[in-house]
Amino acid sequence: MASIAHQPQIVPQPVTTTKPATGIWSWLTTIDHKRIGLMYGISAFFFLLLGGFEALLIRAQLAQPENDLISAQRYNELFTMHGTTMIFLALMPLTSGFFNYVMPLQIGARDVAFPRLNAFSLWVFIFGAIIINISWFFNEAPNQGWYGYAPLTGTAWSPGRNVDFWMIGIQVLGVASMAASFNFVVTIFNLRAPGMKMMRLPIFTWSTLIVSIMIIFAFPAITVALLLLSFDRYAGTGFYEVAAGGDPLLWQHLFWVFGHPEVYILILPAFGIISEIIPVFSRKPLFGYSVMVYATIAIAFLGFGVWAHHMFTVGLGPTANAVFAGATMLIGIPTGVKIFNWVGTMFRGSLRFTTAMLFAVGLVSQFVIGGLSGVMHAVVPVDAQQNDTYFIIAHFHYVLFGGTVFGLLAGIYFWGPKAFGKMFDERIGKWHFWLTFVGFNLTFFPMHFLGLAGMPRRYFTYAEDSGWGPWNAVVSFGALVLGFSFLVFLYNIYKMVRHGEPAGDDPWDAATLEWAISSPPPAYNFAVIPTVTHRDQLWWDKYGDEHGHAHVQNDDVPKTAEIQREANAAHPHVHLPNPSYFPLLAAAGLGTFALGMLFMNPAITIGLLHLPVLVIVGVALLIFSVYAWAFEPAG
Amino acid sequence: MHRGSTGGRRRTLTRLVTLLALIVLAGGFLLPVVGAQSPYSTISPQSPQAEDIQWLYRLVFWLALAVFVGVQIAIVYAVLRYRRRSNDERPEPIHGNKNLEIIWTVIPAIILLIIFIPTVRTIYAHADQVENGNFTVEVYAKQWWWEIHYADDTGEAAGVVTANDIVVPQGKDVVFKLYSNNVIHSFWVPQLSGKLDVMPGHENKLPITTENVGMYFGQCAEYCGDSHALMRFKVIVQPQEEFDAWATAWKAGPSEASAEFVADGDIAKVPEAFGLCLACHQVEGTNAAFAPEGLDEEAVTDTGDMGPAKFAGPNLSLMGCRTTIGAGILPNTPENMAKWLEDPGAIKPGVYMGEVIEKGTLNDEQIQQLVNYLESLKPAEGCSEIPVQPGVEEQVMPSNP
Repeated sequence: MASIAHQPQIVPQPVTTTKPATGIWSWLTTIDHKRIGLMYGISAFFFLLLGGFEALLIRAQLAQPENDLISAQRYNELFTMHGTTMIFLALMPLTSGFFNYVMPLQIGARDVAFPRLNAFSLWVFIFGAIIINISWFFNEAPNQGWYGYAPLTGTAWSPGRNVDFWMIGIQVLGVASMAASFNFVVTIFNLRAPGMKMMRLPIFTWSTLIVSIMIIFAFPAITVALLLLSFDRYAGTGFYEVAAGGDPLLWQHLFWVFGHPEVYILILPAFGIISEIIPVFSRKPLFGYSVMVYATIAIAFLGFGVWAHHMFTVGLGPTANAVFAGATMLIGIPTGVKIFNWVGTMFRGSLRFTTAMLFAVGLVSQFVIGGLSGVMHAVVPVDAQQNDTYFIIAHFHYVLFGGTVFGLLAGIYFWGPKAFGKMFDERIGKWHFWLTFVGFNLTFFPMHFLGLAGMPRRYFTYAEDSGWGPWNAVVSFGALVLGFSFLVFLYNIYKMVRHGEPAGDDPWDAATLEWAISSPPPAYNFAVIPTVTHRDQLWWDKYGDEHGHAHVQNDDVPKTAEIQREANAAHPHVHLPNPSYFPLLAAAGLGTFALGMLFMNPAITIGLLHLPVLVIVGVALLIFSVYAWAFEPAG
Repeated sequence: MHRGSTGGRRRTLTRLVTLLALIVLAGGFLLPVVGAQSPYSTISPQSPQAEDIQWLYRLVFWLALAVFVGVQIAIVYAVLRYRRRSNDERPEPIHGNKNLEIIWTVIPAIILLIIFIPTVRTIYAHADQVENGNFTVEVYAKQWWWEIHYADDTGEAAGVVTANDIVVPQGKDVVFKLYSNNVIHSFWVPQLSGKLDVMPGHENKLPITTENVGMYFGQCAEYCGDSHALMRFKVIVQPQEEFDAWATAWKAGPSEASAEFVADGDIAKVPEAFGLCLACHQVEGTNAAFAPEGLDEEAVTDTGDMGPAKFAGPNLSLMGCRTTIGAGILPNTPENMAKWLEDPGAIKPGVYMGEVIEKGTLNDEQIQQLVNYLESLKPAEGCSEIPVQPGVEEQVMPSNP
């Protein structure tokens, strides 16, 4: 307690930043984690809408049996791009947007550890996303499925550039994810405010840390898998070709060693988000904080040991199947613990149902369905019936939509006022929630029935006598409702930006450090670096000690928020690093190099060497930018 | 902490919780029922293997439903009971409870153990059955159809090669050996067993005991390119004597009924228009028994090489008795056969036959000649009757003449 009384009031010198810069150039060269977070969020949201549009086309085609609205080839491109877009271009970067924006604020830092590397990650992500999507303009969109099973991806069966766009695009995106993850891990370990011990970290920051570590371990697997595929496709090696002594099973192992942790990489951030929201709107600390932390670590750890449950039908043999069934079931335990702890947080709380809270509780309720169907799939013989059917599609949409998307929407309603300084319209927000909830269940619950009725995934058409028509019609109608809910959301965003009520610093009476500063926060975040004495610091500030003595005002010690206000009023001169355009240039270099791998022409021929121009330009730009970046004064 | 829980509120609460529980239970009962109408139903088992799976499914389904109902009731209860009533209220900051944490870790663990034990038992039981079969059918998955070879232990049928209709006798422990020399497919007859992938470079074996006479719908369940959705097949379980008659007829070659469509009335020959088909197709007992040099080896004995077997088409012996054309796309009628021969690529996107035969490649006369010939390829005494599909409400009957 005493430490807060002696809060140092030193303002760092020297001085640079004054007013926030504006204009497009300031955004292109920004290294501010908040702006980068926003750009991640906005671009990812665009891809979320694009992926949703692709899903609506899929549903239009499947609305009735023997439909010929969309050709087989186009349909196969659509489902491939829907999956690829949603996972790599929408959900992952959206979570990355939250990590970027919220995490440094939660730990009382002024930015991430490597701000320019952070900008580099953003721009690499955007170039990767563009590379994958320009395939549409060449009528060569990826068509091998988001999981790209060999040998269908080999040149014998996929001679076009469709697979190349995907292979190279994902490889580029991997660079962005790895760079961002290292950045977050270093930031969390090193830039925590004084007093913020690991077990005082806000739970969302814990999620950021664990997910980043997972990415660091998971992505190398797909990098290697894609590299081997590149050799197969470009150099004629045969890593995945039986005829050349390779094995398509190798791809599946490498892919799912990445692919299964990836599922947790997508869901754990959402868990982190609602673990902040539910306590705030229950006015109660998170039930079993330390158990929640350990459960997250357990899920992350076990998540690396269950990949072969995606391969129960490839014939790995009874022992492998039994072991991976057991491991998969084990993962249900920490996940269940999380569910119970959220419900425990709500019990005896004082619940307020803002839109953020509705989506958070919606996640708890809907994720249970995805979790339970997941346990069904761990039962290997049952999985042999359900694998690759609509039952699986229902399952993972309850996880990735009912879980991740609900969590992300909750997060937007929760932190949106912090980022924009304005409040959402809560009435429209509630409409948005209920439309999403109904549309979501109408779309995805009947898919369980379709799966039980034996409808396989990735079918561009089905016969009338299959009996799948009626439920497909319901599903397609549900998809329309779900699509409409996003229009309502867009309108709500527009309304917030144009006419939103001022949010104030702490509109939700929240507990973590980001609510101690203005909304939107100043470029330097904290005028003075805060000192942390408790886990839910702001609640402790506002309502007294954490041992149950509610309603006790601690007026004798300075509060975190007051200290920030006073320091801000004194016009602090906080030293911030200069903006830089080298991260953007370096990313452009990498992007150009990747494009060069796709477009070998134009080329320069010197003797026997046939050098693609784009590759040379890209590599040159990359090397130049990295050098210039290294020697650029930080400001 | 004081809360004004009046009796009225309690009653509302109880009613709401009951209502929710009823809705959920109704949904739960619905779940096992709705899937059953399809010919591809996964919950209408017709073999011991599928019965085993169904038993496991029911176990895990009811346990999952119990957990689901419990959690949803807890959520709804919390939502209704602890709604904020006054802006001043500050609940007690409870940080956790060790006993509760232990309880809700141990209970799921016990439930999972209850599921895990029979899971492992079934995994190993089915693995044992693979080694104890008495009737081996080799299945070669192609883009996008199925080639079927009968192994030496199939009695009369040893050496028979057919496509898409897998005829097997009743009462056998059939082992399907799965091969692919192209991409990955997945062999799946939902009423008879779970699916098993067809992995290039690997030999996968699926045991199915043929208990009930009937026709069972199968389909490819692993994405395999353009026409993945159009790669269907049937397993037709017949009494032993009918099966033997079918195999004998296959080996006997075309009956006299074909004589009027072939040159010189010699049933060992094929119609003139069939010349183009010879590159990929065979008819047992005719001069089309072997495809031309370079293709026949791979076409008949598929060894896993990539080459021409990618292209070689179905063996057409007894084509007149097949249930469908194009791997389950069209019922086998003369009209449909004519449609198929006119422009196969329009019916089955990406099919290799579409590269050889485009619209206009065959004239109407040739098409008619081929249709007549192909539909005549059946035993002299006619095709055996296709049995109905057990366990499915609405029968889908193939238009087999």
